[in-house]
Amino acid sequence: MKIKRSKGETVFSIVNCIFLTCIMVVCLYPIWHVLMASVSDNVEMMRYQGILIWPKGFDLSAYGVVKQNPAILRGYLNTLFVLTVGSTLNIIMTSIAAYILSRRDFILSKPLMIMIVITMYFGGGLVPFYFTVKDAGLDGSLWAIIIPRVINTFYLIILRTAFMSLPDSLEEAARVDGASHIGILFKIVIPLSMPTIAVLILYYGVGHWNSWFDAMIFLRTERERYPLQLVLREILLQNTMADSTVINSDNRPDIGETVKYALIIVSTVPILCIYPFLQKYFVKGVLVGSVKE
Amino acid sequence: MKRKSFIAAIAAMSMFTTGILSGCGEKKDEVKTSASPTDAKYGDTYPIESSTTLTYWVEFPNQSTAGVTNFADLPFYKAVKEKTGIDVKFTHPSSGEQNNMMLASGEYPDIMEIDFYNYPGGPSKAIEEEYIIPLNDYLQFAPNFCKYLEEHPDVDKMCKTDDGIYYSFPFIRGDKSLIVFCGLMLRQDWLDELNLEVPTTIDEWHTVLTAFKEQKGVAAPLSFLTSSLKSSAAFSGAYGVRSGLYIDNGKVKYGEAEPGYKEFIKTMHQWYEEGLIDKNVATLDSKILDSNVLDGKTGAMIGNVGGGIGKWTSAMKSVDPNFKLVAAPYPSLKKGERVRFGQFDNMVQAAGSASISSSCKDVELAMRYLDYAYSEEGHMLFNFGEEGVSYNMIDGYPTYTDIITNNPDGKSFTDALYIYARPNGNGPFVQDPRYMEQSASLPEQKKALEVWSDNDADKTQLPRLLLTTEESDRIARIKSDLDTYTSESFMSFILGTMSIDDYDEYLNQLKSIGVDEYVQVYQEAYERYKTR
Amino acid sequence: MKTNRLKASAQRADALTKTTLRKRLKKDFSRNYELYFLAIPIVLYYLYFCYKPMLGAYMAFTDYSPKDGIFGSTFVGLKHFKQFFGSIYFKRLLSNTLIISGTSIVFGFPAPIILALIINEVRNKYFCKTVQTISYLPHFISMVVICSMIKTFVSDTGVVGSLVNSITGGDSSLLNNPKYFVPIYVISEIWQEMGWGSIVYFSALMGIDQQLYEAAAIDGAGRWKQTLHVTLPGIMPTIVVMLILRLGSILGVGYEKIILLYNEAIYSTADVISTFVYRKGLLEFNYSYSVAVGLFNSVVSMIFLFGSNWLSKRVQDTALW
Repeated sequence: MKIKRSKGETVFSIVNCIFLTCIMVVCLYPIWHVLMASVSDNVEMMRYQGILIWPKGFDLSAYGVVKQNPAILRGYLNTLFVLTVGSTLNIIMTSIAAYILSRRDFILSKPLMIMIVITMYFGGGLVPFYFTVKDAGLDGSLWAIIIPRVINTFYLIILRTAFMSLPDSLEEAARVDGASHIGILFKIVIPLSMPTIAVLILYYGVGHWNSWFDAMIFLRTERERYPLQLVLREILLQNTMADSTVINSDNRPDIGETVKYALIIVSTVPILCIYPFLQKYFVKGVLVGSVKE
Repeated sequence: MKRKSFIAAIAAMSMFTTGILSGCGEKKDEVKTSASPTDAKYGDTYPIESSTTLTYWVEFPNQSTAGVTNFADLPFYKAVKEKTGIDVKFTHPSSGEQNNMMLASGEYPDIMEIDFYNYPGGPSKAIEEEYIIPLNDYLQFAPNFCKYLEEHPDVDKMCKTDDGIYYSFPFIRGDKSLIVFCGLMLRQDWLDELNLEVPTTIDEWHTVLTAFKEQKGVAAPLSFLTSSLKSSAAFSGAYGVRSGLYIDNGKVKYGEAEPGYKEFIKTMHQWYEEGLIDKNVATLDSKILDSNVLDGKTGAMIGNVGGGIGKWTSAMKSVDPNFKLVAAPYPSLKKGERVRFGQFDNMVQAAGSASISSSCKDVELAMRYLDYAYSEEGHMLFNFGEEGVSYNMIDGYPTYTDIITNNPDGKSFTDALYIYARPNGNGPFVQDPRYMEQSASLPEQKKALEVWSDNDADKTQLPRLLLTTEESDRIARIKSDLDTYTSESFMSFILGTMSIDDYDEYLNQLKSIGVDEYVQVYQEAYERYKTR
Repeated sequence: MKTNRLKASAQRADALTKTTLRKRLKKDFSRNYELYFLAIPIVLYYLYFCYKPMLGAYMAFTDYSPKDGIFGSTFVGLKHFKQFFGSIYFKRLLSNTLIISGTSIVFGFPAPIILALIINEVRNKYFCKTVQTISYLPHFISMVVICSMIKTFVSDTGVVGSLVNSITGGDSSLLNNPKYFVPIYVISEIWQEMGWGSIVYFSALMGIDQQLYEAAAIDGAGRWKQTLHVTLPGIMPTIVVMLILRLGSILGVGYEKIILLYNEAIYSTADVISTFVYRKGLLEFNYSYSVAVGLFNSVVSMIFLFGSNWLSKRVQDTALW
């Protein structure tokens, strides 16, 4: 399907590329800044205020400090567990729910939809939620940060929208052939919605990677189960806490400015790498060939 | 998803709560005689033999520098265990939210280092709600703590509620020199260069700052965080007010509503207009302050002994060997006038006090464990660590050894000290001034402590008052509106977005928010405090 | 194609209302019994983990005390609501929240869609993937770091700050001036979230039938027309759903970023409900109060959610339900 390009389109393409390149520069900058700051000299960083193009001085000792901390490796392992197990459950449950809600001929789908959407905006706050999770016997285990959030309603609705945009004819044909709902879901609907599923894997995965609040609430005493972000937050907070209580004679240890940045690099870079792997599902026209209209 | 922000807001509030006071006193004898239900199981001498393991809830913020994740693994707590003979299992929350959830769960550890002083309704409410127990019936198990309070009636007063109930083993600053740690400072090397003296009055400050601006050409002669300007009462003291509540001849006053405040903000605005105060004063944070100071953009600032003078001097050592700071006294309006305000902390601190929970099975053991820190031996251990390891007695003076001052692993003084003792954090013990003498070891730091305490701030300082639940309810709305309004107006006056001509309007607004009732409530609480 | 389908289902629904509910359920069950079983875990999940804690909103009407529990605490009626509505700042907080949220919907909501469409026009596969990957990076940098960068950019010596000051004649950080806060907030939000948000539209683009493009090209439609008549309608359901959900959280301006950016001098435009509650929280510990504020937010959210859903059903024929 080679389309002949007009002159106007060529100009458009060039402008487009320039524009996107600008966006890339702007979006790449924060991580570049953090990276440069993490290899800078600590005192130089304290003195400096402004944007970084190259490191101020050069010093890798911040990474040494990070490496020494045993909690970080343990945090990685915990996060990895939550990430894999959690995301798998997330996708399964969300797909089932989205499938049910996307059935137009199912009379409960509308009431269920309203019931589910309401939960996005109504809640009782932290204390009742805590008791609910505790009553379920999950307090203190990693399941407490997986199960209570197994479906994210927002993502569920995204997936439902994707399911609904599939042509009905496909599923109707399958129904006529005697396929069960589960069969249709896993053999037809999910494979055809792979781009959206990939997005959800990314969203859920990143969500698990970045989450710390639930872990802080439910794993209070289980230090060895802390996920990476909670470990990180604790270390970073040492500094900000000292800031917030200005009247404080106590010389609390001050972790270096550069260590903060090194921690951010160490805890961010792995998750950045998952997107390129998921991009292979972003293929145009997955529907071509399967639709016979 | 966004709803979470509110949850987190709640959560964050508790981050800033920690601590309490307690004590003994004249009531003690009476208590002792009536204390029949609690016979002593253990003797007054350590180590105590007991198979019970206590559970202890306390924050441990510097795990990464200490290299261990539990107090039990610190050489310091190993020593405490050996000396007291009591086995303790520590749990370390990493934030205030976890405190709340622990309290909400109904399963409490035996000992909790949590601030019940700032609990809404005060410690009495916390006792009523059965989180913690009143200690009065058990004070005979804390002979050392009681002895200290008997010797220090002022401290004793701050350790109990209006009804005379003791509810915690508090963190006590053991000397006046530990109470003052923040104030004004200037670049000594710049003063020398310009042939100027350390300023002591508002006019002299104006001269010095103008000289910094014109002759040194710096963009921000004076830099400070608004929060430290307010809490230290620097400059406002010259006009006879301080921000927030204070005591003036037995009356509680609210600085923002007092006449002197107008003159104070007038001066601040004038300085801002003249470019003597950092143009970015509203957006200044501690990171920018650091770089202002270290990059020579500023010549005068408000800071702490450790986090200011100490931090900046050591950071500049390699960059600019001439860099030298000098503390300036809190300035007055007329030369030689004695200032009544300055940064001043209470002897008894809310943070770092330990209470015994209602689920504690062996209260006597918990009492004895906590009381150890107030004994002579415990005092030395908590402040200096083990003799021969982290300190040596040299001419009767506990001197930190090389393991602290020149750590073989390259740890800083503070980091190293945290492994062997606790004086540089808060906790249920009496802080020793000899710790600070060695911690603030630079001559300018020692001088600063002297210069900043040379005022009457102790006479105007609001003591730690306790409000009743009804009173807290009465001022709940007023307090948040007042706080928002005064801090917003303060900044607007300085920047000139609000004209000083509108000052009357400002006062009217304060009145309509309810500043009078607010002050009245605290006045009543103060009256009760005086009769404790 | 899509509209026809919806009309057909609407007709079917109309026909169904004529029979009784019981009969309909029975018929539906015999046909979709599998769905009923599949729905059980989902419904249980929502009932237990979402609806049960919701009862705790009752706390808003009590003085919550952990000892007495949620339902045992003293009932105080509307005390906390009165306290919130009675604040002299209530009006300002509400209008600031609406302004910030409204502006970021108007400017921030279309940004990821436009980005997705532009990237979609790139013919080079590798360039396309690189742009995608890089544009979502700012989402991962912690808020504290991002905000300190923003502060640097808009300070009097910063890139943006000095540029704006040279035009307007200002001499200090843009964050000292109340009128710049909303633009700074919204623009930086676009910067942070544009790439991340575009991913979902990007996946929606993948689902568009490629034959439609070919047909359009044969009809002589250029790229612009193709975008307008094929691409946009193709992702419209996603756009509408996202917009409805976004409108539902109109009062949900989080406190974290604002706290890091604002200062006392610009409270007049920057202070929102969540930051006010946050500051209040620093002064006193009051659970019930913040649950009350949360409840107020929820009610407003509901109004916007149902309102926008109704509206979109009438105008667009696509809606959440």
